[in-house]
Amino acid sequence: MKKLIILFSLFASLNLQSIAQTLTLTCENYASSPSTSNNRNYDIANCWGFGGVSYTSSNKIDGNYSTQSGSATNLNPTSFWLKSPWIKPGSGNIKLKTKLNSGNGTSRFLRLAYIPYDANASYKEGTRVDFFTHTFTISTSVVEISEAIPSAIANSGQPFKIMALMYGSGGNSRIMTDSWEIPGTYWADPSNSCYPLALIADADSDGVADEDDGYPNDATKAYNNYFPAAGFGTLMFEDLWPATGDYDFNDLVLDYRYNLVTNANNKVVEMDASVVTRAIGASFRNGFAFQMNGIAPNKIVSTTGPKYHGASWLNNAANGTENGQTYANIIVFDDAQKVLPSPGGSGTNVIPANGRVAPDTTNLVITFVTTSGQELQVSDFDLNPYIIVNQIRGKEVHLPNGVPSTLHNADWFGTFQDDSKPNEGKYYKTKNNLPWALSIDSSIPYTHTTNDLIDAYLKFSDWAQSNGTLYTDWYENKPGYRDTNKLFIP
Amino acid sequence: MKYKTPNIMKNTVLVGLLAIGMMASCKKDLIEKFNEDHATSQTTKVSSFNQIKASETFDWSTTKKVTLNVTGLKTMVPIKNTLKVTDVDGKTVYHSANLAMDESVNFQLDLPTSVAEVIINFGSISKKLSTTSGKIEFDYIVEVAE
Repeated sequence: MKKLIILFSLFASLNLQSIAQTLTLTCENYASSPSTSNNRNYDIANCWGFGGVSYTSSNKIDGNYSTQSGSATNLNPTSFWLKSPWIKPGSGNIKLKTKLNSGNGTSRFLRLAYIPYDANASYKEGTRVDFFTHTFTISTSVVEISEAIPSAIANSGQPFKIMALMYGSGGNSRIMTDSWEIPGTYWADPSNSCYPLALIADADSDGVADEDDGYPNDATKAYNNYFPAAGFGTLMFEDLWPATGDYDFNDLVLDYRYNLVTNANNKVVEMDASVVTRAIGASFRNGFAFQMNGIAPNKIVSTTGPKYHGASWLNNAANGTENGQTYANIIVFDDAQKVLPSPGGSGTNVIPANGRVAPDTTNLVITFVTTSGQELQVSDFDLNPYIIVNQIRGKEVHLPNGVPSTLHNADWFGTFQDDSKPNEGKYYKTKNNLPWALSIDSSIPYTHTTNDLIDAYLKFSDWAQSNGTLYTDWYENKPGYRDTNKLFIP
Repeated sequence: MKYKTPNIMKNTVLVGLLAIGMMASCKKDLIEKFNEDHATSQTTKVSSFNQIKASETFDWSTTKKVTLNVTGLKTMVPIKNTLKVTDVDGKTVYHSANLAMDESVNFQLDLPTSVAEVIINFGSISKKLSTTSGKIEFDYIVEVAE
């Protein structure tokens, strides 16, 4: 494996321009991770360039590895070459060790050149300027080269590459080099095609380039992290828990999408969530909430946007989280029937003959603490949605294995068809492991009232009974996958 | 000036496109056939939801958790850029983060179950990586043949 080291002189100033550096290529200083089968690739990742030059441990000059050209039998100087990353050259001498790997050949040369920056040229490389040529004696003796950086580029403040060209005629010997030292300041960006370091457009100076910044004029925010990443997802609930129902999964149907907004330090500063209430196929007055598993309520600064209609059990703290909870719980709305009133008849948007009500969107904005050491990361979020059944606060219905909130009444577990076993981490599943709620990461149609889900989604049962190995796309609109007569499609 | 494309070139392109189309179609057919064959042999036909017998380990979710391990690379000067995880078309962004190139970190991603590969970009560095093992290993080394 290869190593590139940059030696920083110990100047007090942090101004990069003022730090004297020596760029080195030793072929020895490698990182154990990531491991790479080709050590040269590590130096390439740090913007060294090689043309027909490999690394070898045979006949090495110093340490365990040296660079080695192919057989230098062509007098074209660019037959084999090595280029440094872009540097701002300092003053002093470029040093390297070189030799031939075997004592044969008619002639062998190693030439040094510099390449100026040219914004319009291929790879931004201008016309090469040669400034030194070493003629080898045909032998395997090590030669130490020490050549002054040309005055035209020394301390110029401009970026250049230093290039070594290796060529010759006759025989088959190869030209080896090692222990390079180039005085200057490293000025390449490995994350930008190894072009010279450049100032990025960053209007809010948060360290994230405007082109990547979702909030280029707000230093407190940088990235949007949506879930689902594209479009909305769908949540479907059965509300007769702990008894099983008709499995039409339309007692409450919601679409959702949330965005965890992170700052330049990748900490979550805000959550923007949209909950679209689409249908109510029940007479119960259900509430809807979600728990942020593992996140303490005091991590939340404020919550705006919930829709409350005076439920007696509502008991929120000033930050919008529900009191009495171990983890942060947000009640999105307390009564679906008030959010999406029925146009008449039973339910809302589940019987086509009853007419259709426009879905209702609840937009939440939740802000999080930004105190150093208290912040949250995206991976801290494990959202656990649930309904509160018919205004009974202690009666929650979660997705399968969704852990109930502190306020859930555990006495319900194990009654009727529920086979929850909290000590085994089994929640909200029947003996046959059937759920009372489903979450799909895209927005899908739901069933007409009382239509069994599997009569509408024809591949669902194969998916479930195959343990998820078959028809992972059961919810997609593919030929043979749906019976649209059973679905409520406006 | 316009040049007429030689017929042989046109034919080659057409045959190539046809082959690619057939391969894609063939793969799709194979998946469908696998689903159909195994649906008959492995699963019991049921007429209602409550007849379904699911495994106690079955995850009813349509998403999967995938861990992304990023291995940092020692750089000469501090380099920061945006690491972006997208679908293979580059249109759907699953995750964005501001990373120093010498930083080793890991992220938990929630991806649709059907996503078998993602693209990870860090500035000009781009890699297409598989998600099927539940773990994605990303580093900044781009393999170059000697």
